[in-house]
Amino acid sequence: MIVVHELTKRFGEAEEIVAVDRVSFTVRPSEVYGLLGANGAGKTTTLRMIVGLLTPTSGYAEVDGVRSDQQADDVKRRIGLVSTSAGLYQWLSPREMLEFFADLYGMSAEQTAANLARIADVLDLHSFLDRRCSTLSTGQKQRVNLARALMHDPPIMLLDEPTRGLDVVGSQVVFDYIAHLRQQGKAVIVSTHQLDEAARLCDRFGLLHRGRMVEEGTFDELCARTGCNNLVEIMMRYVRGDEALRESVTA
Amino acid sequence: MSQHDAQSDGSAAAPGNLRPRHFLGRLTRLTLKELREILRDRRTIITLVLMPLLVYPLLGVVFQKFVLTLPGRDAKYVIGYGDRRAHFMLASFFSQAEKQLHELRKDGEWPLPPKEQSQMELLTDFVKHGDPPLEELVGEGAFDVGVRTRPLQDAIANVSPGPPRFEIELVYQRESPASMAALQHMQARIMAWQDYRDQLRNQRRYLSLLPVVGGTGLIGLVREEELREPLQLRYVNVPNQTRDVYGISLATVIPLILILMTITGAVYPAIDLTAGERERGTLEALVAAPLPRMTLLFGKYVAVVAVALLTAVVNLVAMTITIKTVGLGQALFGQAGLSLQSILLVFALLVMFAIFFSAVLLAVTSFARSFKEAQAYLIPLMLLSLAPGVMSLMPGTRLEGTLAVVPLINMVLLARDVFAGETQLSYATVAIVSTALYAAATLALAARIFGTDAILYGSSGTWGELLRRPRHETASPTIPMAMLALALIFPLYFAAQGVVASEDLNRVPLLATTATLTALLFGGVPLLVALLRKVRLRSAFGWRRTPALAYLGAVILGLTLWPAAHEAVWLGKKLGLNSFNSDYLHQINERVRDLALAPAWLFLTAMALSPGIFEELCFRGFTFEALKTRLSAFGTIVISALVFGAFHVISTTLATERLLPSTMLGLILGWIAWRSSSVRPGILMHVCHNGFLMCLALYQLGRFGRIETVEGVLRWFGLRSQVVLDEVEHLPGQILLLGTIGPLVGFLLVYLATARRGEQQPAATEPAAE
Repeated sequence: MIVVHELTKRFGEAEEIVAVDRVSFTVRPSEVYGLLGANGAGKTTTLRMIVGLLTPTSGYAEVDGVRSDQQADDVKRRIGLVSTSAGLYQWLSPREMLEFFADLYGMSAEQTAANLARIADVLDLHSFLDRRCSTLSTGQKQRVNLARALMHDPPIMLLDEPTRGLDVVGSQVVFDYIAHLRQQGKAVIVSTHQLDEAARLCDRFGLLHRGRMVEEGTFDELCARTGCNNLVEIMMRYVRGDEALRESVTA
Repeated sequence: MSQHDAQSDGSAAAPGNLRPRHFLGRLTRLTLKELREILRDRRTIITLVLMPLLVYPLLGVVFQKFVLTLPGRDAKYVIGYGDRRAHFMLASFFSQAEKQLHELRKDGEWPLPPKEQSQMELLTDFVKHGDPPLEELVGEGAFDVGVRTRPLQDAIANVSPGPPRFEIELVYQRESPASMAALQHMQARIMAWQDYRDQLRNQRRYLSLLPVVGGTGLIGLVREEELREPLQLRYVNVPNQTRDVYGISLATVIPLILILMTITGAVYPAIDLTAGERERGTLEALVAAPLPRMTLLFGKYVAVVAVALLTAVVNLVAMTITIKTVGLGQALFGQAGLSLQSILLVFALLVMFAIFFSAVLLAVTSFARSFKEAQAYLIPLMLLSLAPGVMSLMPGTRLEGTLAVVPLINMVLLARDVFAGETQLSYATVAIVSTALYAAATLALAARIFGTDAILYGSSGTWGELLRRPRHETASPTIPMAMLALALIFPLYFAAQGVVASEDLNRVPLLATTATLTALLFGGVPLLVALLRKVRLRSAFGWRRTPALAYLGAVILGLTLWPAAHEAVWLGKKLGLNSFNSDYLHQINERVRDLALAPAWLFLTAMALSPGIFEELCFRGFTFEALKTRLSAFGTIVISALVFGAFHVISTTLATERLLPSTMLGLILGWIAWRSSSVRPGILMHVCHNGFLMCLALYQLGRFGRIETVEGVLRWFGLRSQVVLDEVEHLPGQILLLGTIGPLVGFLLVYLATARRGEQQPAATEPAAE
C-alpha cells in the first residue's frame, strides 16, 4: 500500500521552483495506478520521492506504513524501480547484473536462482541472458531493466515511462509485464505518455499538471467529471488552458 | 506489509545491518563486480599494460641522459686520493684493468658502457696539506669520488704474518649523478681487474708486473695466497653539501614517478565507477538499493585500489626490466642496485599511495556528473599532486614535526627517506597512520555526495552539499562522521603537540594549554561535526542518565584498575612491545614530575579532569555512538578500544608499551558505555583512574605534606612513599589483590545497575540518513 500525503518538492537555491505541489493519493495492492501528465508535470520527481531518492520539501510518502524520508532503506527494500533513464552495465551479462542486484537486496543464492529462472520465463530473457549487455537491442535492455526491478520480488513497483523508445512489440512486453504484476498482487504506479494503453491497463489515474494533482479517479469518473471521452482530451484541456492563458497575458 | 513480512517472504533480508562476516562477503562481491566490469574494458587494459610498456623505456633513456650528461662538464670527473698509497694501488692496475675490460667487452662477456661513459675522462687530484677531510671534499663536489686506504682491522689481517694489509675506501655521494657515474666507471675497472686476477689464479701463473694489494704497496711478485684474497673495498656515502643542480638526488625523483604510476592506474576506474556510472544511468538503480552509500562507495574504493595496485605491479615489472636493461640500478638505488628489497619497498609505498590517492580520486569524481566533468576536476588535482614531489627536492625538507601529518607531502618525504635509508620509524608511523585517516575521512566526504540527488539529477549545487546542514535532526552520528572527526583530531593533536613543545612553555602555561587543547580537540572537533551534521547533541555523545550504582562501580574501577594497567605494561614488554624510544618516555616521566610542581588543581585538571572528560566524549561518546549504529556490541567495544589504544601509542611517539594498558582500559570503558548506554560512568572512571595516579605522584613529591594515614596505607601495601611505579616490575601482592578484588566489585556493580538496560541495548538506532 502506498500513501502519498501532501508531497511537495521545491528546487533552487531559494526553493523558488515548485516541481511537486501538495500531491496526495493512495495505491492499494493489486492496483495499477497511472500517473499521467505532460513533460515537467512532476511525475518522475514524485516517484523519486516515494523511493527515497529525493527528500521531500514537505509532506511524505509512506510504503506499507514506513515513511521514505525517515527509513529510506526499509522503503527501498519494498520497492522495485524501473527508471526512464536506467542503463545497464555494458561489460556484464544480464545474468551477472541481475545476480548483482539481487545480492544488493540481500537475496540468498538459492532465492536469486529461483527468481531469475521465473523472471526469465516471464520476460523471455533466456536467449540473451549470458550475452554482454552492450550487445543487446533497446527492447532487450528494457526487459533486463524490468527484470532487475523484480529480482527481489518487491510488493510495490514503480515504472517511470517504461515504454519510452520501444517499438510496438517492446511496448507490448511491458504491458504484459504490468498485467503480470497486478496478477501477482503488487501495487503498481506507472508513469507513461501512451495514454490509450494506460487507459486499458490502469485501474485509476492521477493527472499531474504543473506539479499539482488536477484530476484523480477511475477512467469513467474522470470522463464524467470533465465531459471528455478519453485521457488525451482530458490532458489537452489543461495544456490548452495554459496556452489560452498565455495568449491572453500576451494580448 | 510489515517489515517482518517483507523478510519472511524471502524477498529481502536487511542488508543495512549485516553481521561483519556477511558484510565482508557482500563487500567482496561488490568489489568483484566492479573489478569484473573495469577489467573487461579495453581502455583499462591500455592504461594497465600499454602505458607502462611505452613510458618506461622512454623514462629509462631520459634517466640515463640525466645521470650521465647532466653534469655537463665535458665528461671529466675528478678522483681525489687521500693518500699516495691509494693512488699507487688503484692507478697502477687501472691500465691492466682497462685492457681486460676491453677484452671482456670484445668477447661479449661484459656489458658495453653507455655512450656517455665511453667518453669519460678521469682526472687525478690529491688531498693537500690543510685541506678539509676527504668526505667534506666529496660532499662539496670538489672530488667526484675520493679514494684512500685504511689498515685492515679484521681477524685475518690481525693474525696473518707479514706486513700490514689495507682496504680501499671509496668515498662517494649517492645524491650526485656525477659522483655515481665516476664510481660506476671505477667499479667496472676494479671488477675487471678482479676478473683478470681470477684468471691468473686459475692458470697459476706468476706475473711480475701485477701490483700487490696490501703490504707496503711495492710492486712485486704476486704470491698465490694473495691471488685468493679479493680486493678489500669499502664504500662510504657522504651527504650532499652543495645542493646545486647536480645535488638533485635521483631518490627524490622516484616519489614523483610513484605518484604518476599510482594516479595512472586509479584515474580511469575512479571516473568510470562514479561519474561513468551516473552517465550510463546505472547509478540511480544502485542508490535505490537498500544499502548505505558508504558501503557502495567502499566497494568501489577497494576496486580502485586493486586496479591501482595491479597497474603498479605492471609498472614495477616494466621499470625493473628497463633499469636492468639500461643499467641504472646503482644510480637509482645505491650500491646494492635494484634488489628484491628495493622492489618490495617500492611496492609498499605504492600501496600507501594507492590507499590515499584512490580515496581522493573517488571523492573528486563523485562530484562529477559526467566523464568530461570528472576529467576537468582531475587535471588540477594531478598538477597539485606533483607539487609535494617537487617540494621534496628542496634542501632541508625533512619528514619531521608538522610535515609528518601534511597530506601527500608526508608520503613523498617518507618515500624519499626510505630510498635514502634515513627512515625514522616514529615519523614514518605518524605519516602512515595520518594518511590512512585522511583516506578514511576523504571517503566519508565522498559518501556524503556520492549518489545524492545533486549528482543524480543535478538538482542543486554540489560542493555546497558538503557543508549544508541536513534539514532534519538525527539521533546518532554515522561512521563517516566519526571517521571525519578522528581524521581531523589526529593531525591537529600531533601538530599542536609540536607547536607546544617548540614554545618551551613554563609549567603553568603548559598545563593550561594542554588542558585547553585536550578540550578543544577531543571535545570541540566532534562537537563541530555534530553541529554541522545536525545530530542531537545529547545522543551524539551518549550523554544519558544511568543508575547511581553504575557510577559507584565506575569509581571503584577507576581507583583500582591501575595495578592491572601496570601489569599490562609488564606483559607488553614480555611480548616484545618494548618502546624503542625509552629515553623519550623517561623524559616524559621527568616532565610530568616537573609539572607536578605547578598548582595541584591545575595539574589535576590538565592530567586527569580534561582528558577524562573529553577523551571519553570523543572515544566512548561520539565514536562509540557512531559505531553502535552499524556494529554489534563486540565490534563497537573492540574497535573503539583499539582506536583509543592506538591513539595513545602514536601520540606518545610510539611508546608501544602503552598499547596493552590503554586498549585494556578502552575495552573496560567500552563495556561500561555499552551496558549503561551512557558516556557518564566512563568519564567518572577515566577521571578517577588518571586522578588517582596523579595524586600519588603529587604525594610522592611532598605536595600534600606527610600524611601518616597515607604512609600507613602505603606501608601496608608494601610501597615506600618515594617509589616510582614505572621503575617497579611487579607490584606487591597486597596491591595485586586489591587490583583484582576492586575491579571485580566494580564490574559487578555496573552489571547489576544495568542488568535490565543491558538486555534492551539496541544495536542500531539510526535510520539510513547519511
